[in-house]
Amino acid sequence: MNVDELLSHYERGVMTRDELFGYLTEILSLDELVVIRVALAARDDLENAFRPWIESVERGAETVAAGQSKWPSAEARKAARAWRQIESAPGRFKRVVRHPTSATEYPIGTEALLLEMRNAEGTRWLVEVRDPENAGRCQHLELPLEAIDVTRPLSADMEAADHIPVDADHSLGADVALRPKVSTTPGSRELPRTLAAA
Amino acid sequence: MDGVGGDVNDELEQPTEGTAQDPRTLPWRANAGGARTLDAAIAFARARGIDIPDDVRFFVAPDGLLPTNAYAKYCEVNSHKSYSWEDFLGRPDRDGNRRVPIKVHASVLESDEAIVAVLAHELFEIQALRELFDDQQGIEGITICRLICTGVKGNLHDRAWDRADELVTALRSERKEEAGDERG
Repeated sequence: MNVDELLSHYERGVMTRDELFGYLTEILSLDELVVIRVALAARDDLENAFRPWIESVERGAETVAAGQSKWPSAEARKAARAWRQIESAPGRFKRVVRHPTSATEYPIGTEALLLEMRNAEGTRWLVEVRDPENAGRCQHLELPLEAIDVTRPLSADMEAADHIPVDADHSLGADVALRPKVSTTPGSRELPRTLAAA
Repeated sequence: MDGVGGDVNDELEQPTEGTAQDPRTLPWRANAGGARTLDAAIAFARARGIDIPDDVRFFVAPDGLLPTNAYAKYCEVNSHKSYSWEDFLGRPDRDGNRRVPIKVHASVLESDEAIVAVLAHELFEIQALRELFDDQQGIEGITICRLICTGVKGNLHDRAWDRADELVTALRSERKEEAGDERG
C-alpha cells in the first residue's frame, strides 16, 4: 500500500494516526523518505506528530498491533536517522529553483530544503520545495551534487529576477536547479549556462 | 456440516502456539448460508450479548490493512510513546464524532462463531483500555503493549480470548440444543 492510499484510509477514519504511522514505518526507506516527507508536509498535524514517532523508529522501538509485536527494519531505522538529520539542519534552507515539468514555477526566493542522500548513482541532492501558491504542497527535485552550492547565496542579480527561465537544452529529464556560483549578466533573465540538469 | 471454520482458519494462519494466548474454540464453524454483511454481523453480535458502544466503528479490512494472521485490528501502540484515550480514535466521521476504527478480516464474516469471538475479543480489550484511561490521563505505550500483545499470560489480550471463548461455547450449546429439538 502506498502513502496516498494510507493517507486516504486515515482521512476516512479507517485507522488511527498511530496505525498510519505504523504503516508508514513499514514502507520507510531512504528511497521513500522524501515521498513520505512531502506527503506529510501537506498536513501540519501529521508532520509534527510523526517527529517523535520517527525518533522511536531510529531507536528501534517495539510496536504492537493486532496482538503482534514488531520492530522497525534496519532500512527504516536508517531512513529515520536521515530524517532527523534533515530536521536538525535548518541552516540548509536555501534559495532555489524551478521545476520545468510542473505547472508551478518556483520564483527566486522560494525556500527549499536540501537533503543529502546516496543512491546507486552516487551522492545526489534531493531538494524539497514548498509550493509558493499553496504552502501545504511540496515537490521534490533530485539534483546532481554539483548542481547547487548550498553554502553560498544567490547572486544579487538572480535575487532580483522573478523567475529563472528554463532552457530546454538544459532541462534533460525532469529536474533542474540553479547553481549559484556562476555569475550572470545583471538584469538578464536568460538562462545562465550554470543551470544544471539532473 | 463440516466444522470448518475451514475458510476462516485456513486463510488466517494461527498465531504462535503455546502462549495460551489464542482462542481455544478454534476451528470456528463456517455458516451454511455463507458470509453475513458487516451490519448483519454487528446485529448478530449484539443479539449474542456483546455490548457495542457508540464510539466504535467497524470496517471490513481493506487489503493490506491487517497484519498476517490477524482477525482484526483497532490500534497500533508504540512502546516509546505515552498514550491518551484520544490516540485510539480515528478522524471525525461525517457527524463530527471520532470513533475507534475496528478493521475485521472479511473471512470472519463467514462464521457466526468467528463473528462472536473476534468482535467480543476486540471490544473486551477496548472497553478495558477505556476504563484504564478513566483513571489516568496518560499511559505509557510500553504498558499498553504488554496488555494487548500475545505472550503475556493473564493480560488483557488473554482475558479477551477467554471472554470470546465463553460466548462461542454458549453459542454452540444453544445451537446444539436447537438441533436436538428439531430432531426430537
